[in-house]
Amino acid sequence: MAHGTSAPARGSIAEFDRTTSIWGPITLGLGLVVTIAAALFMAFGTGLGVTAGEFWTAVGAVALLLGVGAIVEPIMYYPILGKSAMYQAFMIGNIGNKLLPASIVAQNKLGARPGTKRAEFISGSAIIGAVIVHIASLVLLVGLLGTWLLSLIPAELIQTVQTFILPAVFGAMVPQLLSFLIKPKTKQTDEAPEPVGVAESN
Amino acid sequence: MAVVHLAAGELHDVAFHPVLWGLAVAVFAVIILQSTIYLRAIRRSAEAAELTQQEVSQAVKTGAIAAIGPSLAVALVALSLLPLFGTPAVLARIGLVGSAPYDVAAAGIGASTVGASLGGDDYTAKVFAISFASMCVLGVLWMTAALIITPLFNTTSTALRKTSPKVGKVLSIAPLVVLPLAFAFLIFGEVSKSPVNGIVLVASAIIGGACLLIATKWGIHWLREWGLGIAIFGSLLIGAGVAAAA
Repeated sequence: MAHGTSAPARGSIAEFDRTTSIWGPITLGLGLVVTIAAALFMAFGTGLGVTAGEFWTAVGAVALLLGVGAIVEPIMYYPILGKSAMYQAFMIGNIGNKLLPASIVAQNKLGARPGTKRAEFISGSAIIGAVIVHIASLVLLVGLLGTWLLSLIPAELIQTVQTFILPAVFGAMVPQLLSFLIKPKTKQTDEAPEPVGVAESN
Repeated sequence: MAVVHLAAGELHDVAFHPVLWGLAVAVFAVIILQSTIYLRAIRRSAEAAELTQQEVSQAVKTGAIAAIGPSLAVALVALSLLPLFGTPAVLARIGLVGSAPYDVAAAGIGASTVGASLGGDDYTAKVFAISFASMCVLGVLWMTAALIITPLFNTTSTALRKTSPKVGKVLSIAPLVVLPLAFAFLIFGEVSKSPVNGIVLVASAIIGGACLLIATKWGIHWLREWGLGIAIFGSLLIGAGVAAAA
């Protein structure tokens, strides 16, 4: 693989934008199709006698009680993530407690100014790294060893993690966030950014 | 509403249905496909974004290490859901825009619409099916909203930027404003739940801050990314200690 600081630019920014604005929605759309298929199969494909009325009642109840988050989260995260990463984030989930920390730690470490293309690329790469760990941990710890691990791990441990995981992650993010937002400019020269982000329109 | 009582064996058969396994595998395949396409696109245009190939690799690695702590925690919580939903359903849901508390809430709401409860005596194969479908609805809502809002916001911001360069400037600093606000919002939600949550949060911030300080002061770079995991586990221990003492 061609490495080096002065390697010639093989692809343009526009090329990246094109690829991600085509494949981002396609892959997220595929995820959507799989999820819809799973819901329909489980309700109607298993011969358990779930009626359409029961199905739609459940759908309506969930949409009514939890649907607000589905609208608030994309609005909240768009300015932070930018277009290309939105399609990554809303496929994986665990945005605030897993992907955003990974993205910010990487941007911090590599010195990226928020809103620049460099920052967007570092963030996208970091999310891919986080995705690898996300998948590996789920496949290995839950898929393959899950039942066995469950018999070993004391219930109190799971209880503790369940109760305190969010404050623990958010607390750890505070110093990262501070150093990310308040820091002397490193590495970044004057670039003409194509910034990510848009304020909530109203 | 009358709930048909089914043998426990049937619940197990449905929860571990081969088709459900297939769908769980499909979830992971789609995620891997997306990551592969994205990484190729990033590598291709890296230089144009003032990024070297080594820096791309470093960013992937840093992101991976930073995600270890949160991932272990998520996996542990996912484990706790196994007895309730079975392996393929948990994998499919937590793998794809899933978060344990939200999914359990959705499943509970779904079960309640047929007058049953999760894991109760009336938790039959049919109730499981409705609960699982309800969790999927959650994922569908999230993904649909993202699919609509993302291009919408993108078009709006591009149009706004064209009308005036000033707007472009404002938009480019939007992350600097929204990011702390979003975290303040998340933090407030957690701290307001219990005082111990506040202790855990502060402890985690102190440990994380110390790691970051040491990393910068003495140039111990690995501490930058591992600091997150260290702070998470350190503060979890403190939380467990405080909860036990209380």
